Amino acid sequence: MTTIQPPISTSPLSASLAFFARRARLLLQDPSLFATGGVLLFLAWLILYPLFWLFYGSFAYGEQGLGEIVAQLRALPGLPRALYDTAFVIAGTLPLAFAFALPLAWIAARTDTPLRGLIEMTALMPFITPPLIGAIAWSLLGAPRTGFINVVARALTGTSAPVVDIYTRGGVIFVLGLYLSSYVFITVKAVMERMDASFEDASFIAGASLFRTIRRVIIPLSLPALLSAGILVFVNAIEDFAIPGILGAPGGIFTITTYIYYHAISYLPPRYGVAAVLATLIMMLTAVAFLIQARVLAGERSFTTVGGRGRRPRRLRLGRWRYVTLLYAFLYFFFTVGLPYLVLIYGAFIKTWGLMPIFANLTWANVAGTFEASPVVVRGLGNSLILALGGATVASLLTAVIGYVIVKSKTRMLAGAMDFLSTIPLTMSGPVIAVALLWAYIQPPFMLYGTLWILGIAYVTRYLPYGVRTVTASLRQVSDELENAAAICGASRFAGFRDVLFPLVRPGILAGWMLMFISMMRELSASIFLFTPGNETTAVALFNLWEEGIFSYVSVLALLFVAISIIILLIVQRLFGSGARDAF
Amino acid sequence: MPSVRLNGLRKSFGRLVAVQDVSVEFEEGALTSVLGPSGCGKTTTLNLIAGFAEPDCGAIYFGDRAIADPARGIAVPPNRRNLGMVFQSYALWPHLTVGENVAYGLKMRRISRAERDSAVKEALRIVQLESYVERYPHELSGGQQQRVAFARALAYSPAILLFDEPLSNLDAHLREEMRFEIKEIHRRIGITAIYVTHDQAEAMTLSDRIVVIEAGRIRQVGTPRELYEQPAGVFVASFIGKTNLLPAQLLEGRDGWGVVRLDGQSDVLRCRCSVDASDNSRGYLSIRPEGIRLQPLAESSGEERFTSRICASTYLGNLNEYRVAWNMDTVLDVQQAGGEELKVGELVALEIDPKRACFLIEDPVGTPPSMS
Repeated sequence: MTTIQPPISTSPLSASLAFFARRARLLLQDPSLFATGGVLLFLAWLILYPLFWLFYGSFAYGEQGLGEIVAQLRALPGLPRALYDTAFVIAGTLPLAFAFALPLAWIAARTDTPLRGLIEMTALMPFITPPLIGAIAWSLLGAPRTGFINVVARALTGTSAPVVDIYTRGGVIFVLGLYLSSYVFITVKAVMERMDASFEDASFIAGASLFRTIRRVIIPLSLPALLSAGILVFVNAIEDFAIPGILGAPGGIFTITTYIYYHAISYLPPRYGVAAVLATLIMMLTAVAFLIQARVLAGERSFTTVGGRGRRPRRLRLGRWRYVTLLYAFLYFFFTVGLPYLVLIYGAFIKTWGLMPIFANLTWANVAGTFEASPVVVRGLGNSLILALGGATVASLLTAVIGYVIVKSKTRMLAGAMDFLSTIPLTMSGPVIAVALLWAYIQPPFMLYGTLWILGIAYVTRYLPYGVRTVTASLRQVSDELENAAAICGASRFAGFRDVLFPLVRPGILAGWMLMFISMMRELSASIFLFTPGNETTAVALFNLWEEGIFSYVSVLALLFVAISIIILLIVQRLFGSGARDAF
Repeated sequence: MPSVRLNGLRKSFGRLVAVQDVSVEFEEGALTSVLGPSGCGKTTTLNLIAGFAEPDCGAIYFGDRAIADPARGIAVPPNRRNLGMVFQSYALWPHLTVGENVAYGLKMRRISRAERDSAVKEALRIVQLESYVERYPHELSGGQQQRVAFARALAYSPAILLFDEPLSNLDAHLREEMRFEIKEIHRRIGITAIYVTHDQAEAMTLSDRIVVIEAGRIRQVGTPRELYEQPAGVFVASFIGKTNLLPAQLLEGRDGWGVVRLDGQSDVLRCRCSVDASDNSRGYLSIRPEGIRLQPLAESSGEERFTSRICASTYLGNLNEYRVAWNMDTVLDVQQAGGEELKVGELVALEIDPKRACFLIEDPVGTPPSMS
């Protein structure tokens, strides 16, 4: 049958020695192992060291016992009220965000409403517009005396009572709901688009009405997505600083995040222990939310299969009603983007606040004035650019290695450790990271407080999971066979990475970079805790200018800030996005 | 053009032993299939040859050159083994054109541009896709992608060609067409080729020789004819083609022929048997469906014929397929070409061709027989 070579005789000892020698040589030859080990250690330091200090600060610092912490918390002025307001704001924001976004997602994904492409873009605008700028614009619009809406209303009706007052819990809820509805839109629209129409057909054939089909088929199928969206809204509503800071704080309304800022960190002397306890509370709430999500998603995966056979969902023909849906989309656009930007443009170019916006009343003086008003403006723009460009780049390099290990490593332990570590920051929202870093880097051995580094570390830590998710998603699409095919053709490991893997995941890495860049540019809820004079970012500068009440300068800087962000994204897309063909 | 020799290979994943004691030689210039049910270890064997996995022990030789031998610390990486491979998913690089895909192996070998271009052209000519150089893989049909994958593996004239179930993603019609095409191309270039498949029909049409693997072990190596006519055991008999397996005892065996008695029956039958089956050993009689002849009782004559009754009948155009009951409790599947269709319930004379019947002792490792 076959000729068989006699086995080569070697003693077991020398064989195993040779084996270990070979393994050791491989370890030394493979530089990727050093990269992996280095990144793992760096990640552990980045995340676990501040976390240790956060918990240490909460529960064990100094002589402080648990009883003493409770006593301190009790003595804090207005804490129960702030907790109540936080719950109230979240309870209001959640349904409002869904009420804004669900119709819009349905309109964009499942109806024949005209201008759908445009609608889709406008629905993403609040995502691109930082909440900070939305909050500033809405304070300019809805302030009880000077607010644009009230000024116009007074002129039209002659009443002196304000029509709207944005500095209320209702105002905070309205603006939060408006800006967080983007998250709902993105998540739900994706599911609605992928949903196989045969599920609905089956329901109709079984004799169910449209209403019953929506209730018994469409909603249950989109439930995991609805839950994910809800959790994103919940987490962001807790951690957001800009909206409750600008619209709530002047009226004495605090959420936990703004409470930590006003009553613990910028209080003199700072109450770092209290800050740590409250930050831990936020972290626990966030962690519980994500755990629930993970549980539900794991359980529902079996029927989340929305079918991948490329069947397009059917679009509902609306007839004349499609102009009603178009009007809805237009109103959404008007309130989230149109009106806020109009008032910013007005503020930026009007000679005096309150004048009619006619040509004679316009001026460029505000633009020049903004730069002369304070050195913080220029410095802030510089710092923001350094932090966002540098931070997104460093984080992208990290996520490339982390993603590669998570998806491709054959050492499951290592992949698991990377996955776990890089997921932790999801539960650390802005104020949590900020308080943890304050504790960790205000003292030796790492005295980074008072430098830009502490902001950079905060940004990289906070947005790392975003990048990891984008990169792992695109890595998972590249099957091992594609890399194996390169090896068979004679490509070394490096050549295979360069010629096959990297080009295929480049769009993912780029998307991750852009997401992290834009997030870092607008970051406020950690920066506001961590900046020191000289290290302000643009977001901090905007907040300070707003506090000083110089509306024209705030408007100019806000517009400039958005313009710069968009221009950089376009340049990066141009430079690195070419050749990223949609080949999947 | 070297042969590929596996010597006592073993590979386990945790506690699961995927491949053990695999020793076989893939002859140079021949197309040899590795055939087995899914999960039998055939893909692992191919991965060991390709270098995507390292054996726990044992050695792999290309010609006289050892390319994997953990005992001596030899593990040539896949990119230095000079292989061509056609993957199950085709594994065409979606960001490269057809031409760039095919040229990649040549580029890695630092072949000059002019030579590269002509080699790419030649490879695409072989698979009849010359005019598709500028296209992207996603613009091609499944069958065309398959051909590009084939051209990519051929372009740089590797020493050995590996196929990992390359046709399993194609529809039945295309699959049959590609079988003949692969066979024809192989005949022309005469490269040492190893073809992994779970489809016995595919292995039969394509291969010079077939290696049958089951549960990580080699069951038999031979030409398609040898496997079909002289299966080494119950597994091979039932996996290659259809067969009837009946418990039986070998009364006497000599020179590859024997006399058996089926359990619970008094009649004796002549059949093939393996040389090493000892007299009075117990085993199975494997009778191929086309090795049984049925005739209306009235027309029959001859010695070795038995009376039986038709239970079911299926008309397949070129064949009639019957299920017959023989001696009450023995049921046989029979295929008969042409002739008049026999009616269900009819009594017929049953005659067994000794050349199509084979006495098998149970498989060496003792896997339970599975009927196909």
